[in-house]
Amino acid sequence: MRSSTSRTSGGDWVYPLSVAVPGKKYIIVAIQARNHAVKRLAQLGLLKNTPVFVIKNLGRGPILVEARNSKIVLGRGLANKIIVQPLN
Amino acid sequence: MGLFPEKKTLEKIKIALIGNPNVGKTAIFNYLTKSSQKVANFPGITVKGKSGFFTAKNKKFIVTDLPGTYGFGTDSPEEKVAKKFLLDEDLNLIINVVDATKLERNLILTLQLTGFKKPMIIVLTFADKIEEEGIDINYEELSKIFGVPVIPISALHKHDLEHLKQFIIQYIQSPLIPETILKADEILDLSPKIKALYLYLKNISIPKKLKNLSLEWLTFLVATNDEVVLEHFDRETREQINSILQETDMHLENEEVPVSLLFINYLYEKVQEIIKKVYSNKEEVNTKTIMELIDEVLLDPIVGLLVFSAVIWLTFKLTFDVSQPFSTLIEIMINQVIAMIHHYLPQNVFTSFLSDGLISGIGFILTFLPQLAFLFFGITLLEQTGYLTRVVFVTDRFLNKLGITGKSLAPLLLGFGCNVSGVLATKTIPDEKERIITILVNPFMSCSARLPVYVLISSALFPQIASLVITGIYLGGIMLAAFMIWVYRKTLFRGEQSSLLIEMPELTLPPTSSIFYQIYLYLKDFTLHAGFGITIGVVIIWVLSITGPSGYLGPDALNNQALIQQSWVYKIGQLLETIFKPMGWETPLIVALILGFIAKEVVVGTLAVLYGHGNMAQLVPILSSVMSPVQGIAYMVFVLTYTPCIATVFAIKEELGIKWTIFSIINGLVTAWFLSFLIITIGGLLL
Amino acid sequence: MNSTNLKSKNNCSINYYVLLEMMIIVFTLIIYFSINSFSQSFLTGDMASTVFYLIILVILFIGFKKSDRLSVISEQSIPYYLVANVLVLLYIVVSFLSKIALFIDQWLNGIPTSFQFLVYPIDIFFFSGLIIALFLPLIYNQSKKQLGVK
Repeated sequence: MRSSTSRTSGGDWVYPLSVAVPGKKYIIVAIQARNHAVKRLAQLGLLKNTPVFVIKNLGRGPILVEARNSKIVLGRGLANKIIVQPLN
Repeated sequence: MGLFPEKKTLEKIKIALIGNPNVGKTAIFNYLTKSSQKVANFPGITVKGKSGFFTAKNKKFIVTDLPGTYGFGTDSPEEKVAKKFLLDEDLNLIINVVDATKLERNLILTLQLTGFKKPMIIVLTFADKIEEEGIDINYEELSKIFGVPVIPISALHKHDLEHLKQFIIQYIQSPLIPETILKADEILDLSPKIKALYLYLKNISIPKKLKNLSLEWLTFLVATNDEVVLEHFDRETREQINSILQETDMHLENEEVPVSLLFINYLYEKVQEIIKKVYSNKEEVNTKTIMELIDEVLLDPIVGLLVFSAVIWLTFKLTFDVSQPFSTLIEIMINQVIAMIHHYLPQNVFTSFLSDGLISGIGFILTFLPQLAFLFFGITLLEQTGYLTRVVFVTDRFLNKLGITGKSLAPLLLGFGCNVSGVLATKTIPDEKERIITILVNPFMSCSARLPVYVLISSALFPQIASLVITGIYLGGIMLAAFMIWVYRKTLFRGEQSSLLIEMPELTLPPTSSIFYQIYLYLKDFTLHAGFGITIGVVIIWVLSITGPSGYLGPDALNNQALIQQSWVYKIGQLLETIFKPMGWETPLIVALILGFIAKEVVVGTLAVLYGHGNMAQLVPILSSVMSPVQGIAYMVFVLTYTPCIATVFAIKEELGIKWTIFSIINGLVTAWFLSFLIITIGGLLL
Repeated sequence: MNSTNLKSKNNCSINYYVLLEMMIIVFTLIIYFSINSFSQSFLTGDMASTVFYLIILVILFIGFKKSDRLSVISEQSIPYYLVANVLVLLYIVVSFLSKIALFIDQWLNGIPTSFQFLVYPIDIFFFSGLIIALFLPLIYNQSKKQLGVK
């Protein structure tokens, strides 16, 4: 698995959604998945630059986020491939 | 000249209901069409939809409820069905149902629908909720932007629905076509592929069915290689299109971003623009609703599972306990019918066929319907309240370790009622590998038809701890299923596991009509698939029981132990005795297993016939003298594991084809034989 | 932690402390009822019900542990008690239906059974108590709305 955290050129940390902290807001910076998965995510409104609020993340099992006013459950594998950045 | 007045042919108005899942389309559809509903069969695809109608002002309004879809970007079956329907049918009106609380995502579909250039209205549901949440939507502005009426309603309020219905009746007289919001110059900038295609399509003659579409939208559909659309073009044109797409591919510098993705990004930008103009959120929502607090409990990793165990136990208790009197009642009625037949009709083959074959067969199915109805009720309630999604969330972690996702849970649970329903329910599993595994493993979810066998043998051989033994069998089935899933993942279905991705709807109390309609669908599926098979099966048994190598034995054979030993059914059992030698089961027991292939319900019935006693109380002492406890357990395990019943086999063939069906049968037989053998051997060593 | 107002369906804030008072009633009732039923089931050998009530007690306990104050009740525990409450109510309903179904089934089969007392008076008392406790918040809401209090 690639390095889990890194800085963008702007100087902010980015990391996979799977390690995001519940109760905080983030913005999607990149999606590192195959086209099929990217399309499915897009259908539900999860694209680059989409703001995302993490509701539940227990370190194991799926992740619950809120995006575009609806709640979405993501498997951990998929969450590993969505790179986010904290939103202030 | 007419004794009978000419039936006036009503003008037909075709309407399509389309929207995201969980927006309340069903409530609207139910209200508009009330009792005229029937299941719509979309040709070539097994996704279900419904159609119904209502009449008003000399017109027949035919409404079709299309499956919930988020848009037209992927090739999911729901999308294909919706697209095909919108293109092929001569629609008079599209009703786009939009969830007002999730405007952003819902409008993506709306934008794409404008491309079809058909008369449209936008219905905003949950309009009552937005007021609560401090949201303000400018309906007039939204209507102006799209160029079609926007009707806010609360799908729970009858007068809102009636107002909508009246509006539709009025509107159809002079409907409006949506504005072109997808602007050509914006789209062409997205990618050279799209530009090249657009220019090409502009200059050729468009096939009839596609003529209505806005050119921009058509370009997008063609650029994404959409089969449903492309099949309307002739071969030459398609080759031309292909070469344009390939040519432009060669000119792309970076890694290619699929057109559909570019398009969706563009759509979201457009939606943001629209949202800015019409949507404002006054309150910052940082308070929690009661439902959200309850979700904390339901999604808690430990408590969530505890709640689920309790709920599932209650569901099964409801299913098996409360359905009993209904089954008994049906059984009594069937017996009455058979008695009447024997009373009024002469004693001959035909009578026997009617009573012991046909009516018995139908009776078998009917006695199981109450149990199934209750189980389906429980599961439907869990699903439509949204609770099942919470269950998927808490169980996914464990199911992942085996190799499946939470999406497989509901089909497996349904299997406890009837494996046919379980297999058919796997249609909702997006990952093909996972779907196949779930289907193959479904028979290990001990269906309700096998319960009588367990009850009979446990009562006979383990009178004190019968229910404990039965619970053990069920749990054994579950563990076997878990093991098989794990094995399949390591051998036949290696590879990356797909990940969950579902929307979690709010917890709500669903309208009773949609619960009952869903139960009706499940029962109908079961009856059509299993009912036919079982009835035929019982008739075959009947034939094989009253005939034998020596010739026709007559219907008396069914009641005469000596006679039945000359029948085909018995002879086949004797032939197979060698295979079952190590288990030491008598011929009648083997025969019961063979016939159990037709329907598991038949096992007990066969034992009754072959041992000459119809009453379970009389069978019990016979069985305890014919089998040892170890043999009994081995027998029950065999029944649990061996090939699924004929109805399930047909369902598997329908879903997966012949290859997997044969695999499933052989797998079941081999596993069953091996496990029983193991039990007998271990039992022999221990005792 | 600052007191968060709980919103309900009708957009009224339930006063936090009033809800706490109601929940104390709920909590006491459920605890008593569950322990009572747990021991009863255990003594009569009804394993399934014993396990069920054990689950209820575990849920109540976990809810109690989530409380961040020294008292028994707090905002974090309330949903747990609510869920336990609903489960117990469902259990009572299903058991009741089950007993009736059994009675009817035996009657249909011609097995003579006396109409046993399906429900005991004390059960009815607690049953009603639980229902009232469950719906008190909603009833409270409705009356607040009518009084026009925000």
